[in-house]
Amino acid sequence: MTPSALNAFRRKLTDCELAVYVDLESRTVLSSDGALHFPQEYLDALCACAADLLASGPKREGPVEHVLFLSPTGSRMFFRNLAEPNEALCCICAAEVAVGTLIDTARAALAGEDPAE
Amino acid sequence: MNDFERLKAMLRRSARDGMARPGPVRYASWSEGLARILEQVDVAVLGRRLSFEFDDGSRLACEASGRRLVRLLTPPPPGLTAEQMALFDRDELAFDDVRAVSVLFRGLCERGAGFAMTAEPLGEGGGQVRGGVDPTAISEAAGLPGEASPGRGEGTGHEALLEGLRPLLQAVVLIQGADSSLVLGEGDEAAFVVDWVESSLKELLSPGFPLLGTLETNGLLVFALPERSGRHLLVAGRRGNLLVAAIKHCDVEATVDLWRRTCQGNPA
Repeated sequence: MTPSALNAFRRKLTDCELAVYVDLESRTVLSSDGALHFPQEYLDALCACAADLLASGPKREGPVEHVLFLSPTGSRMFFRNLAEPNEALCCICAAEVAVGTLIDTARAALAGEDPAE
Repeated sequence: MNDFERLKAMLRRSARDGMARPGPVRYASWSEGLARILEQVDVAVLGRRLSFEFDDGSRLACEASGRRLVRLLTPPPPGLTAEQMALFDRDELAFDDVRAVSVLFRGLCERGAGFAMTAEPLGEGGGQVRGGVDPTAISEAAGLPGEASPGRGEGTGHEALLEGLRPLLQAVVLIQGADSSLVLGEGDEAAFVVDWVESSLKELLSPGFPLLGTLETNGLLVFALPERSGRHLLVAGRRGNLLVAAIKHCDVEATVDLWRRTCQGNPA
């Protein structure tokens, strides 16, 4: 996902504070776009969470497609790129984010962009 | 100074300006006193050292950061039990300490009808904590009015969540500390969830997992599986207990909505 695609994705969602595209295998942040400047350690921690969560599904069911983490103070969402299973889109959103809209927008963004570009 | 450092400096200045000044706080009941203490923890986004001197002369100092009570500072006030004294030896308080902390605070508030309070900022690094306990959890453990009563299994929110999911539940496992037990389900579906908990989930939910504290306090984790599996998985935390469930169909949005209604009091 290019930085411009990540920016376009985040701008479609008023509740999204940060979007990060990561490589799950190498646990590397590939790109990020946020309303504020987030320090690299923060992005790295989010990337590690994505790698751990998306690897924690039941092995016999196939790869986990996305993981949603919600709390009273915020939401963190992790979407595997189904075309490139070792890559994922992570975002931090408000607690009351519309989950259905977010999932649809994330899936459309991941499907509409060739990650190799 | 980059943008992030400027923001941190601004927040720190703001925290200092808005800090509670030394002075008496009066309360009509222990629960009101406890609520006033927890208010101070809840607004401590950046690290703060909070000190309370109660009517009977007892003093308590603690550190709060990230809106959590991180540690109690020595010397402890007189008249504590061994369990309460042990809280002062902790490098960081953990969820298992919630009940003892709530009893300690209640006892101190019951010693009088007021306290004098001071708050001062901690230095750099005061905002970076992994442990600590959530003031809401302390409040709930103390059974404050308007909160779920303690000692009722995983709590009313979880009971309502399970009730709402009942027609779709395949299996449910309850994790309490190191122990897990199957509370609903049988056959392959039960074996599937138990195997998942033992083979992957317990490893994920180790103390090193940065979201564990938030999840255990009142959080939700939903795993969306491929459509062919015909189910999704949920881990809901409340007061240190974790409820793990396999749910028929793949509509994770409906599950999140139900959790918000039952465990968050949010109609959205």
